[in-house]
Amino acid sequence: MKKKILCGMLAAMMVSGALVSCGGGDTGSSTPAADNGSTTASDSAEGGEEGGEAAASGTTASGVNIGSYTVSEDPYTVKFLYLLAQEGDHFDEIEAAASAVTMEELNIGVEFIPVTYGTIDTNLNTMLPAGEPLDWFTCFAGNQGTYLDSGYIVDLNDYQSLMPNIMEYVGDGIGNCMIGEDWVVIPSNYERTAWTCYLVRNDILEDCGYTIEDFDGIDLGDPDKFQEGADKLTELFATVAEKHPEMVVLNGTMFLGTQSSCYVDGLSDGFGVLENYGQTTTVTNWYESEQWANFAKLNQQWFQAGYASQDIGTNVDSIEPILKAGNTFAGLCNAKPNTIAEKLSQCAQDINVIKLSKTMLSGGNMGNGFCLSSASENKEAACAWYNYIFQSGEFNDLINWGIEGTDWVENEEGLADFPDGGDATTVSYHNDYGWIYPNQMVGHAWAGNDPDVWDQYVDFNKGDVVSQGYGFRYDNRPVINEVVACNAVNSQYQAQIVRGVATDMDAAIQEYNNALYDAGLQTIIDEKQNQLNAWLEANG
Amino acid sequence: MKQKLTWAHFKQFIPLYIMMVPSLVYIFINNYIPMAGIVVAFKKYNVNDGMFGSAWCGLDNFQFLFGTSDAFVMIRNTLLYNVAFIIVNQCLGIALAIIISDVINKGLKKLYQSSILLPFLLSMVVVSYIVFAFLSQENGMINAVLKSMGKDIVYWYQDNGPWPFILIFVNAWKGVGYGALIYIAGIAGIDPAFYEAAELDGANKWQQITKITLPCLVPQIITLVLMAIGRIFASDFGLFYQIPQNSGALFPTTQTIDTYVYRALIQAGGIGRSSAAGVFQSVVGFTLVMISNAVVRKISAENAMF
Repeated sequence: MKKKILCGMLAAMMVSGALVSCGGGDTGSSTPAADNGSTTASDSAEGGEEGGEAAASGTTASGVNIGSYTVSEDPYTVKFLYLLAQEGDHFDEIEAAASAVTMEELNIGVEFIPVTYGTIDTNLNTMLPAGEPLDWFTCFAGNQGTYLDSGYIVDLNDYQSLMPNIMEYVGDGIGNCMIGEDWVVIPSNYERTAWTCYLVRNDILEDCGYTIEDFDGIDLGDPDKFQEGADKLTELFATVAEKHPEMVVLNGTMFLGTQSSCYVDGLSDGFGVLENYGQTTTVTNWYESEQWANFAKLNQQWFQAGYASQDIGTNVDSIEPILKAGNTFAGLCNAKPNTIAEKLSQCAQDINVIKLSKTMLSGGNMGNGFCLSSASENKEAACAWYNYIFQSGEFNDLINWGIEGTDWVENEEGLADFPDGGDATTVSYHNDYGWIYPNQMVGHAWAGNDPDVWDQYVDFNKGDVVSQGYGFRYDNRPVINEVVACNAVNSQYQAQIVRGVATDMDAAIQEYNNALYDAGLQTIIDEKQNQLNAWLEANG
Repeated sequence: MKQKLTWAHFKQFIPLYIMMVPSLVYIFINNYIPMAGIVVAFKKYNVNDGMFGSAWCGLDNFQFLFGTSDAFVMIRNTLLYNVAFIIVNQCLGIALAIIISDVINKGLKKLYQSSILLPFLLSMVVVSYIVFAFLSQENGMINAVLKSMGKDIVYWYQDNGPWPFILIFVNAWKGVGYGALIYIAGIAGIDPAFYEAAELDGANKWQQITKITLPCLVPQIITLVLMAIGRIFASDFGLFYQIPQNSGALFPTTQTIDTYVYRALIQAGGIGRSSAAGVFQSVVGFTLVMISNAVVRKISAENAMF
């Protein structure tokens, strides 16, 4: 009998083991911590409101505008979670230097919680539900609705008076940082628009008798110019294929049909867009448009002609390492003013870009940046801190390039460069992740860029055209189940079509759209249209 | 079996019970306490209200699982693949165990044993590239052979037909060594006197296998099968996600509950929906274990687990 009881217990344990591994695990053990989190959160939120009422403007000794913040006697340490290319080995030194930036004038230090791309989701999805102490963290737009609904992040509107520098920076783009009434994210300072382009091997291009100027003026997003541009590209790819049969002409993970924030304003998720570079206020389904079908068929033509890699349907390697390997001619990517300098170092090949579109200013890139966790133990101090470091070149250089003199030096052009002719392997801290740090533009640009690159960004960020949806951000919470279902449909059908490997393109597109509508696409489009109409009425 | 539980009897096992305590404590903390987390699946979780304070939302979190026509496909795939895996892996495992047990040379026996276990220790990501080396359209070995024979190449990652066989094959290649190891241990524990007696009675090798080895292995088989059934609604994520290279065209035959949940929740997820998927898998798994155990008890009460 005893054996049976034991066996029974073992079996129960086994099953419960399965239970734990299936999802209960990351929620279960968190009860006490979550309770703590909620107490502190509400306490300090009250404190924040009081601070907000006593609005006054102040500047520090060094002239930094700190708004209504009054420096406290008690020191505070901000917990700052950010992305890192790889772990460095004198991390403490960088943390101490970064603390020193704010310590003297604000009496606030910083503790870094560095994570990599591979671990950021896991880290956040365990830290946030458990209410672990955390102040600012890197957060991408797609997660923010759920995070707000789950109470993980704070509405920054209550702290506006503490962040005068941020208010000035965000300006009228603030609508793109908001979900409903809540201001959820401070966007990191990077490009707000981009060209779609082909990264090409310049040496091969010239070997085939072309120059980059031959491709000026291509705009695949303009219906009247599409065919002309497509023919030019096809001719180029055919020539390359003929002259260099040993090369794969096209590869990568980005395709014309995935550029839902370039040719159209994708309104954050691409399910329901403003077509024609956002020059409309009617939300439509891009995936059943003529433009999208043309993009797909062009890729299909190139695939069937043998220009594209035969494995392109499942390729997961981005174009930079593929180009670096040396047997590929071109791949799609987004371009900004300093793309060539950036890709030269990533691909180690003679690289140039063929631009394929206009630049459209939209709110798409303004959803990515830093959110304030509701588990922050002193939200006022955290906001004052962010406001301070945002204008600090020293801080932004520290997290991006490391310690000056050890990890980088300033060259004669005023740009940051490796010391003693070294490279990324000879220093122990080097990220080049400026685009997802608070404000790369107050810090040093890396060697190889034009010294006035940040000025170029200012012009570039105005865009050739401005989407009519600029300033509007849709709140996906009412239709979250539909969005989840449409994401699943996308992962099943989209790649085959945009990469051109589907054999019967019209049937594939039809099937894809049917699946999207089954998953609730119309509901999402209607919701977006309603929200957009309301926004236009209020801001139009 | 009907021994009375007396103190004297209990006393002699005290060291064993003490040895058991750490793992009991571990299992209680790690597996039982978190079960309270099941409530999250029925809640609109908000960290400020805590796990128990958040508002109830009924079955909302389960909606995305059953909201689309994919629900049938992924549940079917999960179930059928796991049934196939159980049958194929157990049969192969037993066959290999019997064959290896009969190898007389000690060194060779170790070699075979280790080499079938080796794939079990590989990461699925590594395995996915081994498979890719065979199936790649541009440079794959199979397509290279087809090309050299003047035949058309096969677009393996666009054609979902062969994938049930590919996945079952890969899973067997990778997983069979582990089961075989347990069966080898089981066979080693069978009293050699049985075989000697059978040989005296003139039983041939096949009769020895069917009449002695297999019946003696029944407890191990039942344990392993029941354990596998408990996880019948969970799928090996690496196998179904990495090996098909996440190719959308293959979803009709490679989509399982885990890959669907991952793909759907990779953005805009939320802890409630993930928990709902976990609870659903566990409840079905638990039910299936109870049913299979009941069936085993009906057939052979001695071998049932409880």
